[in-house]
Amino acid sequence: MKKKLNFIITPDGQVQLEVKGLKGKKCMEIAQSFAQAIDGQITKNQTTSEFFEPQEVTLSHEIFPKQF
Amino acid sequence: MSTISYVSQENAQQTAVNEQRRRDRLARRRARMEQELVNLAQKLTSQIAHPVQIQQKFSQLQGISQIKTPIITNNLSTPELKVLKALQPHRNQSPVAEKMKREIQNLSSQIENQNESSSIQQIRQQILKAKREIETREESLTKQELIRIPMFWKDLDLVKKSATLLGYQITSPSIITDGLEQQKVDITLVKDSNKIGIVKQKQGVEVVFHDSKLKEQFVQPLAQQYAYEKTITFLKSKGYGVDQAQKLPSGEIRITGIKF
Repeated sequence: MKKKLNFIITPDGQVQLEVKGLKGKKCMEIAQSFAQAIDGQITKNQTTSEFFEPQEVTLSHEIFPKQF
Repeated sequence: MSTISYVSQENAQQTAVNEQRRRDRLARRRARMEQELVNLAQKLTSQIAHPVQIQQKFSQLQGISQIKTPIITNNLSTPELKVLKALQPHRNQSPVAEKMKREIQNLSSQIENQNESSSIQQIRQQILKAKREIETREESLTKQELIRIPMFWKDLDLVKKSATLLGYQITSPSIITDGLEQQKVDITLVKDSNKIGIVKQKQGVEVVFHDSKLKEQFVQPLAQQYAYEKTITFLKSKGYGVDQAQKLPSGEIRITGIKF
């Protein structure tokens, strides 16, 4: 099964991640892993109908570099 | 016929006595008149402040048109000099003159105080004006204070790489200034004569710049470039291949990672 990660990086550094082809909550795990990698935080989480299917998941995340 | 006028010796003696009495009366009368003149002059002195007016009045009483040289000496040979001599001690003691003198002194003091108050007021206004200018200047400087944005950018090498890719020249360390404010920074990014400072902090970095326009023109592209580099690094670390990376007309960067 092909796993696909689609990233959209806005001009101000926000990142939107779309995860396809990952099973169960693994898509959430990779999103969190990515947020940590870019020193960002998940600001928006949107699941599709595929999220509730047992095998394949499509998950969108909007990740923004954190400011302290 | 002739008329013989005969005056006896007794009569002659009586006539001489009478003549002397008449002269004495005249002398006393003259003395009284002089004394009256002195008294009148003293009275006038208490009512009229200016000595010239007194002299004119005296001249009128004496039938003298004018005394041109009111010089008072110790030689009391004339009645008018007696009067003037009598007036002399009173000239400076006239209540009216004293009152006028006091009023003049008071007025002089008031004028002096007013002048002084006016000067103080002018100085005070100048101080207030200068104070307002300083406040305006301070407000202007405050508006130009450095802008600081804290970011969780921990990878300084990646920050440098991103900046280099965006055309920045990198120097370190340096000082970012704006007006009177100075900020020592660890990395200075220079592009188009504009400076962005990077200050190391415990949780990341602090991006420092002096013009809000720089945020849109330089800081945001740097944040986008930093996110791009981080994304590519992440994909490689997870075993994904970068299938596609392109810059969209909207300014967004699209990246697709694929893993079989």
